[in-house]
Amino acid sequence: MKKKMALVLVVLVLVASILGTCLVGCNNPAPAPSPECSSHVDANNDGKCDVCGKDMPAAPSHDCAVDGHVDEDEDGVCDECGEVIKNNDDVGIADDFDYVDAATCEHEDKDGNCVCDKCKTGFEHKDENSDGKCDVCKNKLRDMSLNQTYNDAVTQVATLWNVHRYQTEDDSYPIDLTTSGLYDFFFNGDKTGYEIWPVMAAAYPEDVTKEVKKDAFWSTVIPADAESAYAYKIRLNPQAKFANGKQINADTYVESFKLLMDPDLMNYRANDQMSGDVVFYGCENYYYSKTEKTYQTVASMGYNSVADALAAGKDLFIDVWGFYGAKGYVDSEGNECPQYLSITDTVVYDVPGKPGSDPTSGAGVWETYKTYLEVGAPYAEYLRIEKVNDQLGYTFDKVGIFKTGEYDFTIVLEKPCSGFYLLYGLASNWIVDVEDYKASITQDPVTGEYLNSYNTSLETSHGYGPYKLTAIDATTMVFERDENWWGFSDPRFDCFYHTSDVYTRVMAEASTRKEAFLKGDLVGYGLQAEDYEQFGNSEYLYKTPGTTVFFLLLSANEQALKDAQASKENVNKTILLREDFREALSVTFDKSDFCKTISPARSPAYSVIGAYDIWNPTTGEKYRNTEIAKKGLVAYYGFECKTENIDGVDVEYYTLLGSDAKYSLDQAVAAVTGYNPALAKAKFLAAYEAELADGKIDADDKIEIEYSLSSASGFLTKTINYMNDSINKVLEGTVLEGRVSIVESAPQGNEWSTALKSGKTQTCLCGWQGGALNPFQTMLYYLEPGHDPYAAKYWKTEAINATITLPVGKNGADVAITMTLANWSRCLTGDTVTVDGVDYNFGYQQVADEVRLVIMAELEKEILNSLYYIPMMQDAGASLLSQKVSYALGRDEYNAVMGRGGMTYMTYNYTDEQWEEVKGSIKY
Amino acid sequence: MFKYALKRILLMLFTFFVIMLICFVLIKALPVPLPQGSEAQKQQIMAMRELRGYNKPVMEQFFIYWYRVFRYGDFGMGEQYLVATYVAEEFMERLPATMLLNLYSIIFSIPIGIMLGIYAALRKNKWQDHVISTGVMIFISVPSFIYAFIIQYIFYSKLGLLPQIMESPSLHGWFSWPMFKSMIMPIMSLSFGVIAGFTRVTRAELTEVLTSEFMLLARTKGLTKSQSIFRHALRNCAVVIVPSIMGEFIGIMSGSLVIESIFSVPGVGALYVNSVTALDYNYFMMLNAFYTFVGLLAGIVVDISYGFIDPRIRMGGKK
Repeated sequence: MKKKMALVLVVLVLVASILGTCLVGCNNPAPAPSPECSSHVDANNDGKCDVCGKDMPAAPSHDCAVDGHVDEDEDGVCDECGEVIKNNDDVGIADDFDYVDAATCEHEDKDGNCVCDKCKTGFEHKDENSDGKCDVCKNKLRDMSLNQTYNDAVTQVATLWNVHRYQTEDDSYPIDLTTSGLYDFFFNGDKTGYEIWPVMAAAYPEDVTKEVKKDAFWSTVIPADAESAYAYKIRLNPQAKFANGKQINADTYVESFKLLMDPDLMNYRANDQMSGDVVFYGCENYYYSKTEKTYQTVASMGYNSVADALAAGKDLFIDVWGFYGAKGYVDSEGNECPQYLSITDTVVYDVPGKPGSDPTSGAGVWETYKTYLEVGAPYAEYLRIEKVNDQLGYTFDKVGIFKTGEYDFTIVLEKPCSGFYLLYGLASNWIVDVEDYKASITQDPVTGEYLNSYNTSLETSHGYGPYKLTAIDATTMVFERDENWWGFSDPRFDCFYHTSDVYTRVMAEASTRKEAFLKGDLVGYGLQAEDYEQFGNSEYLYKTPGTTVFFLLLSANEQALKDAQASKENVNKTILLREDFREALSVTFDKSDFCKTISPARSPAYSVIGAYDIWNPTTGEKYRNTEIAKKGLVAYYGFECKTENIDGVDVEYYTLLGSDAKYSLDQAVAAVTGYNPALAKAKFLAAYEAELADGKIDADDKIEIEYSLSSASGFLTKTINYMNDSINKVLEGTVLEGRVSIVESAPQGNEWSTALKSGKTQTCLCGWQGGALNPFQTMLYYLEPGHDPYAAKYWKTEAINATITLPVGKNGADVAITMTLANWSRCLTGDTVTVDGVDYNFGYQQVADEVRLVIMAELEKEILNSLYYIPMMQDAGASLLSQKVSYALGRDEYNAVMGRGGMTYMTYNYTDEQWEEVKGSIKY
Repeated sequence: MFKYALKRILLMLFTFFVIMLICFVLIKALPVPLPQGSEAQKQQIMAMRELRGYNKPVMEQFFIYWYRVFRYGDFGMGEQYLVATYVAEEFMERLPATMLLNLYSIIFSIPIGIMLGIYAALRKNKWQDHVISTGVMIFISVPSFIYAFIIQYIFYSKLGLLPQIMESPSLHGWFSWPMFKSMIMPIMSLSFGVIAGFTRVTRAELTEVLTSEFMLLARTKGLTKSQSIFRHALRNCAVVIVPSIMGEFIGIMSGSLVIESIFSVPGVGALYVNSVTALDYNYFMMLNAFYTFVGLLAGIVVDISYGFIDPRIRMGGKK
């Protein structure tokens, strides 16, 4: 018995010691120390650890050429090497994009990136001192023999990476690695800006508008007075092949485009080709060539409301199959009910065989449900305007892409485009292996729908980029460097693609990704809000600015507000209609503190155009750095511009109302906080008094603003709590104390924006992304009803005129032009708008860039002054980067176009084998 | 017996279709998620939905659904989740991971659970019994995903002994050491509760059987203690323990819905959860059919197994 007891005791002690080890460790979130040595120490600098005697791991010594400069004290001088840091702001490209024949080009390389500045031919790199870096461009040369794996994590593996059909971001992951564009972006020599190089193309596009116009058909398409920017010849890189070895030539491009736009195949990505700056002529007609008529939503046809559409003489149709379930109903003569019924159609349809059970007509449905079908209402999708296709039977030979040689093809554009935006539009690719693609198409036996298995599995996968897919299942994607890729023998790419393999695992949970990163099994980890306390000051933390500006939308949909408040007792919502109330909300939140509290990586936003949006992609200048943008901003936030005469010179300065302090323009911009609790209090009370005087609110009513919740989350709860705390703080001690609040709506799922637009909910943090290189385009999403702006229902931009004075008269004389806000946004983005018989088009390269800038600044002012969109937060992300790798730019550097160079420029401080040795001892 | 089994199978099929009908009607009663993307893309999706019969009456859709299933073996395609993948193909690709994980768990849990139960019963009211019973209480009460995080933290983060998530079957194959090693943590997470369940049942049954008069008779006949336990006591306990295996197996399958996400197991459990979140009708229907079918089948197997374990039990026979 004693022996047994002793044995049990020994077991218990062992168990307790193991548990003890684990539990003690639980208090320490840092990674586990290596079994031999918790962290190597080399006090005597002999290269060996003083504790365990092992060789010290090659510490990732800071190399400014690779890691970028460090400037903790922000004095403009690198703390590591003492070099003056070049200002990365506003430096874009200095290229022109005219076609240059490489064969006759007198090469030059002024910026020292081993690439010809004119024709973009690459030069051989030199490494005479054998330090592994090119002596000219200073980049680390790639060693193909090294195993350098990029370990990544995604939440979902790709299932459809067909460039014609993919729908989700998960699916674009393999596309990014396995394909290349005709043109792509690269850093310039000193990485202060970027260049565009032909990649799948052999040269910049050659403008052949004049030649193409000689053709009988194209001469009718291209405007008579146009001599350029409509047609281009694209010369292809003859070395380009698919990973399976098949040659890529002009036929590949033309046939692939034909397949993409095929009217039968209904490819999801076909629509991408029909909008934007680069639209091949006639592609939309070809896509719809078998569609007799389409039914467009009222908003997409440019109408703010049903009344506007009716006033314009449009007949409206209800999708009674989708909206009412009337499919299969028949009229008195047995005719089946069509899908779309006019709202004036009085023919009655009913359940077959059961007359009288559900008599339905277009007019009847409209009378009963018209409020639900209004623009912006929950079921607006079901109300349509008929658009008859007058291009039925359009053929592909009239589409603006055709072969002109074995390795060149010509494109003809719908609207003129040139320079940066032309190349930008051609940066993504549409080619497929035509033969295999056609073989992958099947037809659904029941519905007749065309299905396509191209790029849905390893067997059907095709690529033509630097990496090829070698394994994929529900847990993992593996990509290996495709050593047969033509680019690996092109000297331009000798310093890129150091990554030998990409090993991507599914890790749905952030906690799983974090643990994997800390163990050295992932190259990066995107920080969650709760991680900032632990890693906020890590020297491996990289903050990445985002382009989205999150604004707080304030709904002022009168009818919807009335409906919403009618459903609750002692609740007022119509106060949102008052400008004073919205203005009060706009200055209630300390935006800087707001960001720190709810999302520390992000920064406060004070206007609707973001801090990183580039208005001029040729110079790379950011919009917010322009004088006109700065002046607009400070004026909106109450600064007054004054002039004083100092030594006979008039000097402008800015003062804030009620303050004697004088600011320069930049100082005034820096002083903007968007936070004014005193003003907020006064405006809240003014709005309340007015509402009270009008009898719209009772003395005991509460004001509830419903936040459009997609799904419950800690982030949103924190956001709403912060807002309520701020409101309560401002209203403390007033009659409104505790009476104004933002409340969460029921979870709306994907319908959160529909609920918001319809006014069912009244507020939400929203934003538009994708305007980084073209903020002009973003204006459409605020002002153009066809783009379904959040405030479309109540901010009638088709009816609000704005007068802008522009230097577009003779000899640059100022001209005051008046048109609606919606029209301003349209003509700013390249559409021709006719006002009083005069055509206006202020699109890219239609007028001087500065003219466009003035328009955008004026429109921005209008958006801010509406007080429907309250800018709150500039998006950003923060992630920890493994010490295994380095970006091309350091932590404090960032290029709005190139980021930090991504995987293309990523270099490795350790090979896989070395990393296995050291990863356990590395801490962040 | 055959007639009884046949009757049960037919009843099972009937129940299955009733459940499927209810699920289909309920899921179709939910609003169809509005399409995302540009206006033209939205229109395209709407046109595709029309083509796929979304606007037809629900009962018509139900019959078309089963027509496709029986005629073409086609359960549809992912529309909101794993877009454009064939549901049946994806399901078959992921089924081995779930089955393997669940089978490993049950295979390891049965002997351990039964042995612990026997030991606890033999040491009834001694400290060993108390320790085991306390452990049983803890492991039955705590959900498996809690163990999952603890196990992951200890064995991956702290000790670095096991891989954090499941390895890729296409790189390692299903029956390889790296694959098995990567499954140890999810197996442990799923097994703890099941082991506790078996221990509890075995202990309870055996404790009762050990006090029976026939056990006294067995000992007085001259059988050793272990002979009497294994030949007589355990056999009587099996009537309760064996059917509980199916119950526990169903328990493991439901547990694996969450465990699969934690350990990135490419199984149908995670697929089911994600399809519900994404409101994907086709994935939901197929996975629902699978889990319903397995549950119903388990019921029949359990009922029929009684007859085999204990010959005194006869089912379906006339009085």
